[in-house]
Amino acid sequence: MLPAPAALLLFLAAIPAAGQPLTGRIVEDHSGSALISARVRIRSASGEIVADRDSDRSGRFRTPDLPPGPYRVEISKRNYLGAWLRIEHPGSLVEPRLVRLGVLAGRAVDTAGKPVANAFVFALDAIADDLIPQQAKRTGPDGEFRLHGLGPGRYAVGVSRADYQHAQGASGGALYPSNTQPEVFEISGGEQIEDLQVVLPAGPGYSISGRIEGRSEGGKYAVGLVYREQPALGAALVDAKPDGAFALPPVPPGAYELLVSGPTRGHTWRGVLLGANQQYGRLSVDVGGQKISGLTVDLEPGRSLALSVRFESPQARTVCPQSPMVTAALTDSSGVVIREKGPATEQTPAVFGGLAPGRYRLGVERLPKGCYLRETPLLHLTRSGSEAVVVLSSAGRIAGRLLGAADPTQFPIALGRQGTLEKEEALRLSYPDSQGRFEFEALRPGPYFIASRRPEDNGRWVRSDEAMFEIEVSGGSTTEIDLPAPPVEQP
Amino acid sequence: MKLLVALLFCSSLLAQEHSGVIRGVARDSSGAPIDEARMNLVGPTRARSTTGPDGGYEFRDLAPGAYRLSAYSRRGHNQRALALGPDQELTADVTVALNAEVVGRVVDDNEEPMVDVLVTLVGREYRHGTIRHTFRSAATTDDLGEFRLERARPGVRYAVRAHVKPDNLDAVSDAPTDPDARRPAFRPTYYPSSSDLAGAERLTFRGGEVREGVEIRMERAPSYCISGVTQAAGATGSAMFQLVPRWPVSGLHAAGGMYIATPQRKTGADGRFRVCGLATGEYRISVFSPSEGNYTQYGFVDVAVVDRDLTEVTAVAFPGYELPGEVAWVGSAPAESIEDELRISLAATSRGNYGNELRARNAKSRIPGDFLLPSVWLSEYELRGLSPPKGTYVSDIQYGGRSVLHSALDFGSAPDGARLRILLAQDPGYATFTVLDKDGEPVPDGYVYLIPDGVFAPGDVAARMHELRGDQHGVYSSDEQPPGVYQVVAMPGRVLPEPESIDRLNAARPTAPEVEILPGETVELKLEAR
Repeated sequence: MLPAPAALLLFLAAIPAAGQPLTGRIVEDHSGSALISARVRIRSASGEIVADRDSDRSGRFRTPDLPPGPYRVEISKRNYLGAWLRIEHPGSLVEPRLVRLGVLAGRAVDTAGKPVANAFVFALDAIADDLIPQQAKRTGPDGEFRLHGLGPGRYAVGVSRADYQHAQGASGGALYPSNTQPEVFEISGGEQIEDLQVVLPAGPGYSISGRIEGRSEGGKYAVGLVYREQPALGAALVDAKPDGAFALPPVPPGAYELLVSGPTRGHTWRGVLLGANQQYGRLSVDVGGQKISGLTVDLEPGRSLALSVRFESPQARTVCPQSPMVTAALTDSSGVVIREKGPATEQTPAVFGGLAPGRYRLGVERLPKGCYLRETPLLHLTRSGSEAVVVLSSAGRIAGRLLGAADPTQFPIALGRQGTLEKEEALRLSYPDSQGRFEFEALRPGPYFIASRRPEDNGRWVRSDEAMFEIEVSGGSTTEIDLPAPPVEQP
Repeated sequence: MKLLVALLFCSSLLAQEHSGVIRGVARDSSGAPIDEARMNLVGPTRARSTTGPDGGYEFRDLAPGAYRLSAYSRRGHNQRALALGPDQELTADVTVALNAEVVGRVVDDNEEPMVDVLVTLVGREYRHGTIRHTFRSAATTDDLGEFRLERARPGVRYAVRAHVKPDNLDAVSDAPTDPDARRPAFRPTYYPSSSDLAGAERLTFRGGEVREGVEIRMERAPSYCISGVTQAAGATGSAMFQLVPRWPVSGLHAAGGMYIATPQRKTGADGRFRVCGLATGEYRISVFSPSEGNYTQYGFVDVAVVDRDLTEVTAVAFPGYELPGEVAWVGSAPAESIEDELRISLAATSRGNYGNELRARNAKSRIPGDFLLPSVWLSEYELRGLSPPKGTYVSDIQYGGRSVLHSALDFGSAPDGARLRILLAQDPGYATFTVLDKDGEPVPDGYVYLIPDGVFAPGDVAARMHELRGDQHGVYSSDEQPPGVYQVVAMPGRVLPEPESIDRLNAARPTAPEVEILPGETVELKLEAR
């Protein structure tokens, strides 16, 4: 089943005479309200921008006179998915629909009902069975939060006080509505999910203390505690004392993973930054009904990871850098910030040493246009000598035919990417030619939804999942599709 | 043998156990206890803690001596100077001076909420004798166009500025060449709707105040482009560059520092750039080279956009240059040689630090002796944290024969080979003041300012005043001071180099006493609290 789609709609009106301006009205997809101050850029076939305007208070826009020909129309507005479409002018854009990004809002309180101010609140990407922190903000003075700009995707919400601002005292983290069964919200476009109350534990809690063994001379160490089932969620974070002793603030009963990291050289709000010769110690801690003391944490060197690059196609090899800068970033909230990067090739991997155990998001920096990371892999790093590959792709293409329509030119075809989108990543629209042929080019490889609709429809573009088709676009190749025209409704 | 004895002495000190205690309660200015305030203790023993729900904190096992106790909460902070005797249990409550907050909304000329707009508090301060505007606090509007700015200090006048962050800073913009075909740009706007600071409404806040309803309406203006080429010595091709409005500036300011991150972009392979969507104003184009790896070259060019595009702008990056220097004595050198070294560190005054430049701007020097800062970019700096040996003070700092003790060091402004001279003197005097209230009781936790005789211009006062912090007994002691005549002003609150603050200090001066600090002597004086 497809996720609820983000959508865009456009009608063609009567064809005006050549040399006419291009006019239209932009509306919000889910509400149909006029979209004010949306940016409309018109590009000629050569890519030159020939008009750059904003919609007015009624959502309307009007370009200067444009000569006949093909154009690309790019529509954007902050907090909305961008959209672009190909048109043949003369023609008149009537009503493109933009999809508003999602909002998750609410309040953080403790179990006594007291607002939890100044804690970090996260939107967490739900990727398979993993929750990965994506967007973070601080709660306001009354514990209130509002996470906006969420592209279509699946999200959980979490609040944590295990950050460096609160280090040495406060503790606790919570997912909505509970750590054991976090709710994953489906954002397809325009959802504003509000009044979420995230409840953090407020005692009784039990302290955890112990000693770190095998420290470097003079080195400083940090101790982070995460929930075992949700390592994205920090429970506590403290600095160890110079003699290696540590005492975490009280945490409620539960199952935790404790990670010692050092020697440190500084910190960000998420955790410590490490110097050379990194050491880690990991311990599973089950807190029952009493405090835990006398723990001994032995340190060991960090793990190593060899990260190489692979090109999905010969075309990818030509458009992508041969030695891109690959990255590995720790996503667990275990009190240490790790983001390694280095050049890698197919033959020579970037080797990152001194890594903490945990989950890493792998990536590539600064890819040129037309070159894409095939997917954003998540690596569970448990042992030294691990190897991983990131796959680079060139752009893909869709070539299709609309079947069963008397006049295919009247049926817009919309294409949107599935899954979590880059912010304001564009949706696209195309019009078939008289033979029903349509195409989409320069596509980031991955899963898409595609559908056509009747031009006379005024509502949201997609009314049901049945109207959608899910297709996979590969880099450097063409995906072909025969798409049925929507049925004609009987009066 | 002497070394061995010293080591043994040190280890016995380390092994010595102390039983001093400092405890107390952190409260806000209404007297309410502050939960989760971070407490930081700096002195012979260093420690950190967090207050509980009752605002209480406690530090144990403390060595005797002078301490600085800081309390930080989300809404404000405060410091106390404390003197702890051997094995003393000291109660020290801390009242946190609450900052204000500014809550508002940003809309465009269609009254449409503006999303992801950067909103900043802009403060004025004297720096090196002149006024400049710096960022003090920042927030980003949400999907409703709403923002909440924190850390507005009470009594200070601020402007509130809204600035549209670029969607994408294309290195070579494809905006139309015809300005009329471009979408108008949103100009940076000061509350309520001014394109420049002169038209900004300045806001002043009470401690703990939450000022609501600050609505900024952003107007559109003609959109211009700046295009040109970057150059780097000995390098061809692309470089990294960034473009920022000339004012306000990121960097160090009176109450700390604030940096607004600005995206950097890589020029085209031919070094060319074209940035569009700019409103009328002054901008700084900075260029960094190489475009990959650590930057080794830097340069900037300041430009002004008035009523048309700027073309053929050349921004050149230069390598870092050696800055040789010396530490020397003024007058006679001490009879005994000084083993301490002087650490010299340059800090950029109005920009961030990049690559390895911090390392290249640091050196240590014997006293007296020569030093070399191996690679300094052409830019404006100040010397930070000079810590001369006990019993000495910095008499002057000269660059190219000009004193930069109270002004910025504009590296590159002096002839080639100009040296940085740090002059130390060993004839300091000292001062100890007791501040008493009208009943003759000591006034703890205030401030005393020493202002050299004859210094009246606010910018000079800001640069040359010397601050003394009182302990819990109302005693204010100076460190090494250059001999001379000073005016002594006791103030209940801290004076920062901001115009309002300096005005308050100057207003207190007509009735303030003068003291003469003589070499090798300690002047003692009782002051009446204001």
